[in-house]
Amino acid sequence: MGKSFSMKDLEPLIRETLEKGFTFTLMPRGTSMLPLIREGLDSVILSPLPEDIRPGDVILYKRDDGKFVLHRVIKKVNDTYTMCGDNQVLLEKGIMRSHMIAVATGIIRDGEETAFSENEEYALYTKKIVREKISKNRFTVPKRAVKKLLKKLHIIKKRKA
Amino acid sequence: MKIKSGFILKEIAGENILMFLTPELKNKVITLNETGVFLFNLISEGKDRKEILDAFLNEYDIDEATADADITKFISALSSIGALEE
Repeated sequence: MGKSFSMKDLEPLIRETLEKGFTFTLMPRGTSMLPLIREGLDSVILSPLPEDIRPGDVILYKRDDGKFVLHRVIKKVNDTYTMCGDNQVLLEKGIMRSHMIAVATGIIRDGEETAFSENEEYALYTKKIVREKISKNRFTVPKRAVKKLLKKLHIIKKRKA
Repeated sequence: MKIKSGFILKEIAGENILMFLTPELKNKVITLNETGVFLFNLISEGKDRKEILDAFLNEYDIDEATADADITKFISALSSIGALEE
């Protein structure tokens, strides 16, 4: 298909394109956004960041260690955003707007371009993913703490010393 | 002769990338060599054919006939990808 460039090399080009008010089409690497983005097959259409970044938005951002990531916003906590790949479980906390470069507003799959905002199926998919990530990461009480509490309440017997 | 608006010329990983941004020229990305960049800049500055030729001869150790031929070749390459204003 052509030469591929590292994200580090592409960053200035992406930023300038967005600053000029145009979209940038990127073919991302990795599997963290499956099933939405298939490595080597699908491209995402990147647009300038909106004023309001909301749960469900797929954002291109750069971590403090310099790594570029394209993941979904799961929730907003004060000034920070919690991110997760559609194909991942662990939430990444503490991402700020200053880390962010672009928002994905569409996808090109099998030669066809789909805008996220105009697609009902995508809206449902997004809701499902966000719900799923939040519920999978709900605070679970560790087993040992439960046992300790039950012993304290004399519901289970303490072992003899 | 004018370049259509909505492009970025940038050096990336040692290559001069010319990328067009408007929907009609979307995904048109070409690489230019050093001479290409030189000529492209002159054209995008709005210089006419004579000015380009003079600048080219001034900058490069080349005879007029070759310079002229090179400029023609470059202009028609840009034209064929639709980069020039009609």
